[in-house]
Amino acid sequence: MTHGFESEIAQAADDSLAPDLRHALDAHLAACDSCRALFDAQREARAVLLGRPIVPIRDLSAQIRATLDAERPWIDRLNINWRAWSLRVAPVAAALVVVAVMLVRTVDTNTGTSVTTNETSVAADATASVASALWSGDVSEDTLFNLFLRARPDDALANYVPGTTGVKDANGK
Amino acid sequence: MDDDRLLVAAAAEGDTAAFETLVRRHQTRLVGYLRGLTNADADAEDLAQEAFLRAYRSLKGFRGTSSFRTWLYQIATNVFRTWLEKKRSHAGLSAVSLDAPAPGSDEPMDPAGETNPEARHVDRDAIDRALAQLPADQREAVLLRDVEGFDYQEIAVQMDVPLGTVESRIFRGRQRLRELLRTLR
Repeated sequence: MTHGFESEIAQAADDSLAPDLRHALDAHLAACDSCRALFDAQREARAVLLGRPIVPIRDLSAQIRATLDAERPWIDRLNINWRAWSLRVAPVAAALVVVAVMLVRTVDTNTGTSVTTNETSVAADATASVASALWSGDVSEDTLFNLFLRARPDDALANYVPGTTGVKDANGK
Repeated sequence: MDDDRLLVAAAAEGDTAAFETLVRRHQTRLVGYLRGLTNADADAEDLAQEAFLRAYRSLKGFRGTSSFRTWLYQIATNVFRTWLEKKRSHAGLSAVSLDAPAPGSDEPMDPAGETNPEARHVDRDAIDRALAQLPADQREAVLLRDVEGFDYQEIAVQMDVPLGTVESRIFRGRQRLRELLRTLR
């Protein structure tokens, strides 16, 4: 029989009951033997548990860390400081980019055309070939028309203009 | 422990060395708690390892609304409950209940008080055998309060029950434990 003081008795036994409630409970305990016995039993059990020894154990930390390390992706396991590494490499990378740009931006001295890539170089050659064909006057209008329609930047003019090496007409004959 | 926070933050970023420090800091008490729940050294160590591993894998979701220790014990309590369910289902029990005593708790208690009536000291094995005869929910509550020192609100969070339920479990657990321990004195 706790007379509804179950929670209060439990908390009073471990000294966590609010002071005003504790005063009220103490007044009740002073007059109620059954509640007093319950309170004493709570105290006794708590005292035994408080005295339960802490026993040293086998260290688990190394085994747990090994398990966790094994689960990590291989790149993380290298323990590389990517921030420091990228700061060191950045100037070298920048220098390489500058050199690459300088190599690519060469000038074609024969045509005077500024060449920036391989593709634009081929396109410039094709344009020059068509211009030469127009100047020569050796081609018919139909052939020239077909040449303009079918020309690919990497085709040689010789494939289109009769009378030159590897002569083909507009029909490829 | 406030300085757990720095280690927790580092561990959440994948620093396993920081987590190793957290393990070293909490392992002895956590294994002791689980020893009180399972009444078996090997099981307590296995469950503690499982709890630490689960904690590490869940660190990104740890919001820090409670202390790391409170959260760790909540995980450990859940690991224990899962272990208990498996153990009981392997034992062929159809219904799993936290109200039932721990498996193996029917072993005779060490009658230290009978062989040596002068002995006032109750060793840990004897206490744990008495604890093993409590229903698991009462065992959790009294261990968390009287051994580990968590307050009632923290225990309510760890056990995922209302505050009044915690108070009731602690009250009934202590009453039953006192009866069991009397035979040891």
